[in-house]
Amino acid sequence: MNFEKKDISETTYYVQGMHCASCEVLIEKKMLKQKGVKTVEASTKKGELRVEFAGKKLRTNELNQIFKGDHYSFSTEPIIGEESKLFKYDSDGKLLINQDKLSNLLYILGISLLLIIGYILLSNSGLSSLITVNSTSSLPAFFIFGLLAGVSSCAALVGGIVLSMSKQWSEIYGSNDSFGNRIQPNILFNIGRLLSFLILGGVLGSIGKLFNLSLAFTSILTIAVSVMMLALALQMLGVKAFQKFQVTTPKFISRYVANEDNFKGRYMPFMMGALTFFLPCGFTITAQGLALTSGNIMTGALIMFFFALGTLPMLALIGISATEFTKRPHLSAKFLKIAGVLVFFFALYNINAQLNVLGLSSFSDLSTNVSKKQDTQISDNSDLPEIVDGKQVLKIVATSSGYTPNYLKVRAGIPVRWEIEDKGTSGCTNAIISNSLFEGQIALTPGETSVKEFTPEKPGKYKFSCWMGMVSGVIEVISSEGSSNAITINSDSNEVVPSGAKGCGCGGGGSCGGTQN
Amino acid sequence: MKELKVKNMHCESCAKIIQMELEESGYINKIISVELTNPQNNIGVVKFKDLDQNEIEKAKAVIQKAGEYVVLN
Repeated sequence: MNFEKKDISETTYYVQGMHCASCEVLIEKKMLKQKGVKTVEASTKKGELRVEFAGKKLRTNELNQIFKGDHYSFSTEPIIGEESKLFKYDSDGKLLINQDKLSNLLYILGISLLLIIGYILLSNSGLSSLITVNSTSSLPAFFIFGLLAGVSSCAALVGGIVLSMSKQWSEIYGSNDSFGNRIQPNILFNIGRLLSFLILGGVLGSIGKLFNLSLAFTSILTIAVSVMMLALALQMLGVKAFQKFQVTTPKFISRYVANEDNFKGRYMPFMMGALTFFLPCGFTITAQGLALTSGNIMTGALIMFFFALGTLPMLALIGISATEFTKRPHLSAKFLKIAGVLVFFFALYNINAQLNVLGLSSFSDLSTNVSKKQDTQISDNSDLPEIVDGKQVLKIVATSSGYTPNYLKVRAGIPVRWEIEDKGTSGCTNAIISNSLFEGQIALTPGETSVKEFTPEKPGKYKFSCWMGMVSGVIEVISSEGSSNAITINSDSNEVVPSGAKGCGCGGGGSCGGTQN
Repeated sequence: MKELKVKNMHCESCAKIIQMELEESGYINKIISVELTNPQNNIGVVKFKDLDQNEIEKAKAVIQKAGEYVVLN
């Protein structure tokens, strides 16, 4: 049929939902089948569809009906909807605010903030000090210990990983797949984690002190994983530069591990779960230390298995929530953004903690008002400690949420006697480290006072922290010249427990999550 | 049942394009499903009811012509 030129008209539609060249092809193919359509050109980049009609044009509601089920929507006006920018200028130069997008953004930020505040309150609630464990504790005690870990530092690290992988894992199964299929990556992740904790716990128990990862190694590893989490968080938040970021095992590993056709990408969650053994939170390091000191393969295996079992409910809850939310298209976009904010927070939280462990500047410095180790001038001496029997006496109180006071001053060159009263530490706060001031760590025991003696030589500001870097403080060492206001007292106090900062050979942690045997 | 594994399918739109092309080529009553089974590696599977060898070869040609798709088996 020939049409005269006057019968041909061109219309531009604005399209939402196109994301790739295949979408363009799909739309063009379908449009070319419609009566009266002469030529079609779809553009993902512009979000436009140009159609030449020979005869009657299609209305947008007809187009939306044709493409119903393909998740495209059509309009004759530029669409200011979910995927458009927050701020936009119209043709008159007037600023337009996308109200839908603004209310979504406020909703996402509000929910994220509530969850983050809830997490911080829970972590600082002192719940974790309700239970302490040692190598002879019962297995249910380790299970409860794991439950506590699951709602504190393990949620930040391992839960953060589960959340950050939720988008990738949801792509393995379509949203229409059964719940049983969609939950498989999470099930495999947790099975991998339980099995590795069981087996490697047994290894720890059998080889004992031969197995020793340095604190610096675990810190750097945790920072590396947290940087990966940051990238995944930015992907979930829709930052374009990170859209193609994928976490996969290198081909030469995956080829040997499994036939990809059979597993259809399922092996990766299992491996990731297994590898979480090497990403210990403070509670995990405590459990690993106790597995080591058990000196028995079965005991070590069961300690770690029951601990991991205790972390399972929270990790499973995070995984199931992620699965269910990604299934519902109208909620999945919001969920991904909330998850992205949480993962971003957890990643920064972990990085901050490890910077404390490594003695580097961190966000914690803002609360203790310090900077990196540096020379200091002679400052006001009124807050310098008393000198008893030739030693500067420092006294602090340690709890699971921190130290009081957390900023101390001492003189260089004069021995220090540091008395630390433990009023309820647990997890990683059961020991103090300060690599710049002394070697090893100060082991703490709830209800008792530990003592550490050392002599600071060089003026400067030195950080001290728990061995996971979650809580920290500073000791400022000032030059002793001109400190004429020192008060010297003789005393025969013998009421404190000497510190036993020998190190247990475990992964940077103490052997003492609780009372000593 | 016959399955054809297809490479270079990277999204659900590709699955729909392949399904459309096959239906237009006469396979409308023979297709069971077209799914993107391995998004990470851009691999999908087309499942048919029983086909003879000629029909299989023709289906492969239709799929490969639909875009930059490659039938792997």
